[in-house]
Amino acid sequence: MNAVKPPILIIDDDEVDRYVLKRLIKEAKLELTIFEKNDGQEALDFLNDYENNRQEYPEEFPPILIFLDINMPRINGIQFLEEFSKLRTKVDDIQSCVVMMFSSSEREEEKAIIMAHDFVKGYLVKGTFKAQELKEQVLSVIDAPVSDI
Amino acid sequence: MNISKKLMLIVILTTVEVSITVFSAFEIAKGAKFHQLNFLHLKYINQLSKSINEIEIDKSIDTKTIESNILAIKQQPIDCLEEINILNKVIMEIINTNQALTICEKDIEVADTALSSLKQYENRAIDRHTFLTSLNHALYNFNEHSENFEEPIRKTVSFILITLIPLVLIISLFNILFISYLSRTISNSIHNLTLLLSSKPKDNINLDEDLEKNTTGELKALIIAARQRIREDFFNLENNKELQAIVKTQTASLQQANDELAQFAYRASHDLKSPLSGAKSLAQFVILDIEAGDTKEAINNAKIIYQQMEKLETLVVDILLLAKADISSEDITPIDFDQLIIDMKERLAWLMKDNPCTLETNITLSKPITSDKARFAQIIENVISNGLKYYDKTKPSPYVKCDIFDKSDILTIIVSDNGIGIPEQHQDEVFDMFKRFHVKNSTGSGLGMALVKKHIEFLKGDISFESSKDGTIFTITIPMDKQV
Ligand SMILES: Nc1ncnc2c1ncn2[C@@H]1O[C@H](COP(=O)(O)OP(=O)(O)OP(=O)(O)O)[C@@H](O)[C@H]1O
Ligand SMILES: [Mg+2]
Repeated sequence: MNAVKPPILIIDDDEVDRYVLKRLIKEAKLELTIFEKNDGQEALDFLNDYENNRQEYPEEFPPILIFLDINMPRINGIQFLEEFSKLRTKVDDIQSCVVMMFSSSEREEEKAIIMAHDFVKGYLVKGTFKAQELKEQVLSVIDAPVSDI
Repeated sequence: MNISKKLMLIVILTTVEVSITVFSAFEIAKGAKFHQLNFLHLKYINQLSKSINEIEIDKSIDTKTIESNILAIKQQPIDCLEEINILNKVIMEIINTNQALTICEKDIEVADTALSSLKQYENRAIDRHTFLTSLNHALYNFNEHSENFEEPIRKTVSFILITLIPLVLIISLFNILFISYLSRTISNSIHNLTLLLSSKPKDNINLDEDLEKNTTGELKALIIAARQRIREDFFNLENNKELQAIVKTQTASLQQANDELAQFAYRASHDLKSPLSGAKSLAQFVILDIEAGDTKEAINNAKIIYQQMEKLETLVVDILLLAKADISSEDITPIDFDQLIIDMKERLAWLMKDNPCTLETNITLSKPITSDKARFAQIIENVISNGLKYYDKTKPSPYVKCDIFDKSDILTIIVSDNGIGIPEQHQDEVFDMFKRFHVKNSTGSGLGMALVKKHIEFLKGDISFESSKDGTIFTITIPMDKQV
């Protein structure tokens, strides 16, 4: 299989949480290119630097799926979604990028604001799902190759 | 002069004016009556002279008719004298017309003499000729009196006309002027008062004084009563407002406390949950790794689990400390600050191990400090640990310095560093729970400064800081005389 590994972006300030998510992706045998950012600000800087990244990762930029934590310093998940929705209207390529929430909390009022964005396609609560569930969730929103090993 | 006196004066003046007018009208009418009486007099005189003529013609004397004629004639001067009062007399005296009165009296005398000669004639004391002569004599006198009477009466009436009428006019005029003057002064004082009261407060700082000076009588009483009333009303209003303000601030602070509590619960549960769920997942991976024979990865993950658990432990300890900070402890002991620093360094060994900062402490106390030792230990440890955590890698000789000294019952703790400083836009959030601005530089639960703040509030002290890219200085002051 020489298909391109679709790029995804994990935005989470907790290194352990990022590790757990990467491990689950590996376990689910999803063939993905993973970018990691520490918080909303870093992620926005990364996405805004469109031209340079396009050159640096010709095949893997922009990501087509973002896993987004909510509680983060500087720009948190909710603030990121605001900025990201503005960015989507400006850059054509980013329009196909969707978001999956990845948080340890599930506050109803927050959830309502988050799910109001039509590009938010799912809500994963940390520590409550296994590799198989993750796989199903990811495949329901993007078209990703699955390794058969 | 107050308003009621002014009004009273107006009433008196008007009464005088009216009385004089009425008096003069009466006097003039009286004059007319005197003329009338005189006419009557002449009429009866005429009758008497006719009777005398008849007697002279047919020689028989009808004494009855003569007597009634004379009595009729006598009646007018009597009436006349009855009409005259003291005032008339005085006036007539002054203008020298009182001969009218003398004329009346003489007339009565003449009538009486005539009547007595009539009596004498009836008694045959005098003869017919003498009687007739006396009658004619009386007739002559009556006539003369009637004639002379007109002149003084006319004079008196015209005197009244030319003196009283102008007097009435003058008094009326004066009255009009005086009334308009008084009403002007009344309306002026009301107007001035209105001006004073409607002036802007800032233009008139001493309104009270001005009111005192510019008002008199009833207006002053009115103002005093009104001011009293307004003050009372205002006081009630103020009280109401105060109550409302109290309710408002209390509601606000309750709301704030509520919000803080909700925020705390949310952050605490999040921060407690995340190392737990991380560890849970990692533990599963460890099992998988061991099963797959990947011991290296398993050991790695087990180490991370250990770190997560440590993180969780400190967080739980911090939260407990924070909760305890609100409760007063009975553990008041003399504090050995040197020992306190030694203990602190032991606890911060993990942080100081690979830390390039120099830590310098200076303790100069004039007398022993007795207080809650645990609070002081936590305050000093948290502020110093922050200085050590957030040092600046780019500066050549990073340091943290702690000075503890007392001066007139105030204990001062100054902790300064040349670290990275607190970003300006976050400086007002330093004492909030779970706020961390340098996540990459060091770990922590973001509760340290919140705990410090609580302790200082409990000790009735004060904490402030100055921070920039060059470093941070925390200054803590605690009044020792307020400690119980
Ligand atoms: N001396 C300092 N220099 C630079 N930044 C500081 C300093 N003191 C505090 N801060 C900033 O303020 C934040 C809050 O401090 P605080 O002590 O409450 O939390 P923490 O140190 O992150 O965690 P904890 O003390 O609970 O382990 C810190 O995360 C840091 O960003
Ligand atoms: Mg701290």
